[in-house]
Amino acid sequence: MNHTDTSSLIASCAESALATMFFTAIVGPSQEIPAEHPSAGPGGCIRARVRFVMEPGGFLELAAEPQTLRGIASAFAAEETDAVSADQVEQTACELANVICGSVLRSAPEKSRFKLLPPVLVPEDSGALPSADVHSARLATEYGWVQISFAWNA
Amino acid sequence: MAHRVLIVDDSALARRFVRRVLELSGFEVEHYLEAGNGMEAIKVILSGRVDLVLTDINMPEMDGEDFIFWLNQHEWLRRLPVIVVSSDSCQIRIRRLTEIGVRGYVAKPFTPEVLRSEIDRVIGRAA
Repeated sequence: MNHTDTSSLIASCAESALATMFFTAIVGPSQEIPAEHPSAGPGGCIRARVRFVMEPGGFLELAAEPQTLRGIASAFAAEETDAVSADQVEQTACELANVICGSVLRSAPEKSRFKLLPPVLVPEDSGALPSADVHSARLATEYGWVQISFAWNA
Repeated sequence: MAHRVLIVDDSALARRFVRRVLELSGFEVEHYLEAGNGMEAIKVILSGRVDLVLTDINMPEMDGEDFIFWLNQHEWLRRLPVIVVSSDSCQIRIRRLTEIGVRGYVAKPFTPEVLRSEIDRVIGRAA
């Protein structure tokens, strides 16, 4: 798949996951963006990363502002936004990254064999994904921007 | 007949989501039971009646695959319906899980309709 195809696939899988499982609407067109360190807003940025094992393997990373993930977590947990804990926000980031990664890989040509490793939170100031082949998309949800980056291992 | 459903996932939030989707699907549940990994799930199964298991795969301590393998090692538990609910759903893994006793597989993301359809198929109540 070329760069635009992969970015479109990421956006499509993320949109489906957000709407189907996280009860979160997309309110604008997704943007294919250059591979870059996720830009933090004033409230900082939460990053969840999933490593997958296949040939050649790689990573998917989700980044969003805490307030955005708090909104998505409230919809996912059916809780009032104020009642959502920091732990639930982080669990939501990890679960969303995991679901999107599985969905992207099932749509990839090599889908017959892959394994997802447990999602982990990465420090806000950690570097970009360790690959030269990174595809990224940014989605405007009703709660704010969510950025997804996907990388095959070099 | 209402069912006693065991939901196995290391994320409390994910367990709550599965429960919510089950409620939205209209499936009759008498009681929800929960476990955070395969080991906890075994303890729940050994302590009372369970009619249906919905389990994730990637979990700490004892993952879903080892849990299902354990169930299949015990004659009296082989008929317990187990459906895997997971993002990790490549064809090879589904085939391997089916060989060790899994009856159904639902890939995330999924809707209440998809989950209900798979439950109905697995427990033989399809219309």
